[in-house]
Amino acid sequence: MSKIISIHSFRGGTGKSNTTANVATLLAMEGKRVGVIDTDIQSPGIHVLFGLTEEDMRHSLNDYLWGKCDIKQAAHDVTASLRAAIPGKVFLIPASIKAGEIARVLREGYDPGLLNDGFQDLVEDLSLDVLMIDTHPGLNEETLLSIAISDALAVILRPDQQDYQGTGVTVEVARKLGVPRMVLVVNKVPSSFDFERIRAQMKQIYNCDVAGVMPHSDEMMTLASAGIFALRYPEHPVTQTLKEIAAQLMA
Amino acid sequence: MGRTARSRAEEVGITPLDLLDLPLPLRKLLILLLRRREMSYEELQAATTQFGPEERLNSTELEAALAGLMERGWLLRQGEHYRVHFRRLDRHIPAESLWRTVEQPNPTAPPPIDD
Repeated sequence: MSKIISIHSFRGGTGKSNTTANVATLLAMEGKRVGVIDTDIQSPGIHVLFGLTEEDMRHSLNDYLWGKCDIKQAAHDVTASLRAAIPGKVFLIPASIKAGEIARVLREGYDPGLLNDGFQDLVEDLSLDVLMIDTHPGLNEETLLSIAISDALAVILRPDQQDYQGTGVTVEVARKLGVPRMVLVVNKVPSSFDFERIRAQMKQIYNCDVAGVMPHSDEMMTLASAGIFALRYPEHPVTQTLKEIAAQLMA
Repeated sequence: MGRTARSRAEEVGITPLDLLDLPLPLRKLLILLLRRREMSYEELQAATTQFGPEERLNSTELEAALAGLMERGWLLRQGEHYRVHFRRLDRHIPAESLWRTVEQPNPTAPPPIDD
């Protein structure tokens, strides 16, 4: 049965897009058909991780929301661009990076019902095992919709007081929306921190499973979203944690 | 900076934010409909019997809930099926400087004065 998974954080810069792209790739390496949709229409970016340029984008999520195309036409098969032995598939539905098109969405808004239809159509039309929704940070109408229709939600936070407070808000809202499975991912943790203690504290504070505690990584910073970390560094501790996160989200 | 002067009362349909304000049984009902996209009355009746004790709706309550949601314009009935009806999301109108930057006409700017 297909799963819809949202990746969210209250604040920006927590590593949502990197986590989404890496988990999607790891699932595809297990043979799954995975869709990744960038609903961060105001500040799209996950397409960079998959090497999809503005010129490559035939259609975007924006085009679909404006009625210019079916959602399937906005799906780009990026599996080959990953240049790895991947038995599954990764389809990316990017949001437009063109300034004028971002401004148009800000100006005109869109129909959330159409976005929801798009999610469901993607799963059916592409025979997806998993649809991963990369969300805009913070609580907004798009993220509320994504959380409401998701089978699983990963809330990403850094070991930071602002993130802690905001995550409390997100967890409360997600519980109100009845998301069936919710996990936390603590990212960019300094090596001097006690990782098991952080895991235990987060579980206690938020009464929520912790799918992974990821160390701050100079390799990740150096890669700078130029590719999929798990493919570049398959044996890295961050990659091992990403595999655990993927398993927890599919459980 | 301008903002579209359009009251919510003039727009029909639910927004994702409205979901949070609904009582638990109605919230659960609408989220179920969102995930299934459309459901018949019989399918809704069968599904709601599986809800927890605090969320469950009997037939009378279900009929009243559906009628109330349709009256608000939050639910549409298309043939035998019910479907969530969303209001188009309102958007903030950015400042003039942003429009100039992206070379788009500002829809809220006053028309030029002819000399």
